[in-house]
Amino acid sequence: MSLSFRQGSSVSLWPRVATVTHRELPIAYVGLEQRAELVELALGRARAAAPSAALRAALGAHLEERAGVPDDPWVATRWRELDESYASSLPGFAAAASIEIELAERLLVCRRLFAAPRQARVTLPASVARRALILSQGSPGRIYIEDDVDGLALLLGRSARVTVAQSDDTWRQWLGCEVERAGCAAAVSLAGGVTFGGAFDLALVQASGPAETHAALSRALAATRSGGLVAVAIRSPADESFWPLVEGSGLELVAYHRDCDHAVVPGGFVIDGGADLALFRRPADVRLAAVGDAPGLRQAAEPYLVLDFESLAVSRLDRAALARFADLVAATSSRPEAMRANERHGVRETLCWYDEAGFGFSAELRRDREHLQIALLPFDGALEYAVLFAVYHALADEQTRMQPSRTRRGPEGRIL
Amino acid sequence: MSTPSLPTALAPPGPDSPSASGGYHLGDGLMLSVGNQEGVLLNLADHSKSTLQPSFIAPLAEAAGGSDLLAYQALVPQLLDSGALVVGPAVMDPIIRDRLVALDRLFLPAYEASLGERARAAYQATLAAHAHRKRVQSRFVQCPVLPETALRRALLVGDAQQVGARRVVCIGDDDFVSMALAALGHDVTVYDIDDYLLDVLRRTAAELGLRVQVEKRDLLEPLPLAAQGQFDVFLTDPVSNRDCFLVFVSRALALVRPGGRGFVAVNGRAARQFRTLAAEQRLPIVAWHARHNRYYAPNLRLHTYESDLVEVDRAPDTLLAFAADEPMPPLDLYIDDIDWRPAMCLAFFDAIEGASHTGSFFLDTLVDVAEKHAPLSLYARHRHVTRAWSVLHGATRGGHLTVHVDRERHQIMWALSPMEVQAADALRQVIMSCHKSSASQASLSVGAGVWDLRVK
Repeated sequence: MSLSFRQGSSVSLWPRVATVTHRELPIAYVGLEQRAELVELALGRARAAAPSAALRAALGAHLEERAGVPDDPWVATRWRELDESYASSLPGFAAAASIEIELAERLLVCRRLFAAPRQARVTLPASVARRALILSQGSPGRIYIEDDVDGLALLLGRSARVTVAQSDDTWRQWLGCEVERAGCAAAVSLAGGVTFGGAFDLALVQASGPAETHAALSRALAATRSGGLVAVAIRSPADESFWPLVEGSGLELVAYHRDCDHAVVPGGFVIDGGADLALFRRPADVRLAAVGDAPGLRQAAEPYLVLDFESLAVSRLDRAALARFADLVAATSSRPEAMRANERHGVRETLCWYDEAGFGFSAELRRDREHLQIALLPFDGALEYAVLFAVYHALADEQTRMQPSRTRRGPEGRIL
Repeated sequence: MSTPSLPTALAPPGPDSPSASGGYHLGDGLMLSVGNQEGVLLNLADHSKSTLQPSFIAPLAEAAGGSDLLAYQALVPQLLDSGALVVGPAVMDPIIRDRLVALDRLFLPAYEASLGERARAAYQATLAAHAHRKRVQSRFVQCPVLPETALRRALLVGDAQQVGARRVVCIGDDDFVSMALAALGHDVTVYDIDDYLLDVLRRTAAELGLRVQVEKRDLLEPLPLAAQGQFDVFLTDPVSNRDCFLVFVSRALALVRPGGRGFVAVNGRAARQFRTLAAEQRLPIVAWHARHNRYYAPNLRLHTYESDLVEVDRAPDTLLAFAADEPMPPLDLYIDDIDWRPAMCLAFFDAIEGASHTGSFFLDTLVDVAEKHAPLSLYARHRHVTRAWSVLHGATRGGHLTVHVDRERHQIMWALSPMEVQAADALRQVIMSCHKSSASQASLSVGAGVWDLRVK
């Protein structure tokens, strides 16, 4: 027996803090000084020493005496229900991808660690399986992936040699542990400094802001051979700047899968609205415009984004609800809070929150309608994820739904 | 196409006479959207949209299904001249068909490989019905699903060769799921209030040699005794409000036998409400297919609306909110309860001039002007001003206003909830007059409860 996480507790890593959440416990905040120890514990690595007194104090009831790192039955059931609910819309998919879904489910059920580096988000098992099936079509021999927070490489590693570049050291550790557990180190390797040179048959990267997407595409192009495939996961609102970027580049679109995945928030919540997956054939000569040169590209970046939540948990909509929500955003955002204004007039309450860099949002809560509308103004991807996390953990329950945040632009222009 | 400015002269009967040609129909690529008193004609070929003069609505609505237009002979020459009408019987519209196929291609590759011959035929059957449809009744909140969604709904019922032929009733079918079900071998009946839809179904079924029974029925009326308990399965896609759920589901349950299965489309945001109703009616939910249903708008783009598909079983002790033979009180079934919220206005001004003069004084002046020229009043003004950016926020009687200025990026944006035209216009005018002497691009898009104004 050893001290381990209570069943149902999840660890989320943020730039300035880590949060530990459980459906029945208050959120625990762990400072950067204990992060390494927290990650070790969350990864279930054997440790000679018990958790430090400081970490034990921070985690409180989130720790319990347990043997090993068993699956969490409540979380497992919740993820399975959600996965079946979202995957059942595809005829024949569950049967065709049963092995991939099973593998991805095992990874999600056991995982404690969550985060969203560079717009890469943890997704439901069927979403991981779906991407694995799509990417393994054509039997690529060597695959390059950036920011694999799902363990997609483990699924692809059954038939290919996969190299993963994680932008965050924690994710390197996490995937390293999973590779070790799965015993597939021969097939899946973690890139330190990747030496490109067109060695890969396929590269998978994320679209985010224009400059970041440009850099990711450049890396993907450097990684893939001529005739290879470049796959890009495109989430709203990155679609607005992504398609102008590839237009005229010479990249040839070979497949486009809309709403390919469903991202999750730890604790058993799904973010309604998936990423699209676009696959391009890489010609020998690609002319990717520099961000500054591409006319209108900076302007094409989305200035704002609206998030809309319905069926919030009535029991959590007390008078302190928005303050609790703002506290959680303030803790998890990339930069410290600079401004907060909160007003209540009858059933309506507004909140305005900004960080030191001028990224923030306005929010309007209608208790009588169990509704919250948030305008991220200006848009920031990291703040969006922090806000989503805070809504679900401060104001929501399993039945809360958000207006699906879907891409509006596709390969042939506006589709929504 | 532009709004038809039609001559009033009555053209003499000629070779285009309907008796010789089999009537008139709407031209290819035209889609008519009809409301209570208004009509809009969308031209899918050139993406134009025409608001119709009232006198043109009825003839075009009739022509959507093919008609001699005997009651509108005076208008026929003008409508022919404008290109809205074409001589001949109503046929499948190739432009609509191509658009639908293109939309379906966004989703079909995910599961196309798993479809057998009969499922592919079922898809073609529902696609054919959709491509015959030239009219949408916004009065009944008609919002059809994509043909690929109609197919997936039918596949949940199953292929009759594998699960046995079922007696299926569609309570409202502007989605044409009935066509796919019939192609899969089921015995299908459609109840709908819209004659036009029933006619499209009749025509398409006849063309394809499928058997679909159609019947005009207002669900507020009692159900005939002979129909009660006669079906194994029902499908329905009501507007997601309490009354509509109660009416559609109780009528549907009265039609299926105990132990029968039902499929109800439920908007995700009304999921809690539906679960509550199901519990009240002792209606077991056996499966919940999240984000199953994808819809298209009359302009043949994806609709912003989506819904889940919920499978329910009629248990022996399931209660009916309304008895089958009970006439219902007058209800407005078509209130969109989930879209109760007023629209928000977002605005973005890029490349502003004189950004250094956009501090606290500017923000206050901006709001002063808006308050002076529009019914807008902030209870309090909360400001935060730094060297690089400023924000002003305040709650209003109906919502809030937040203005953000980024002096380094030379940008101003605001969120105004609810959208108030005068206030938005006053804010825009101040910014344009003080900080934007020229603009290379301006756009206003309206959708999903958001007005989005961008000036670059």
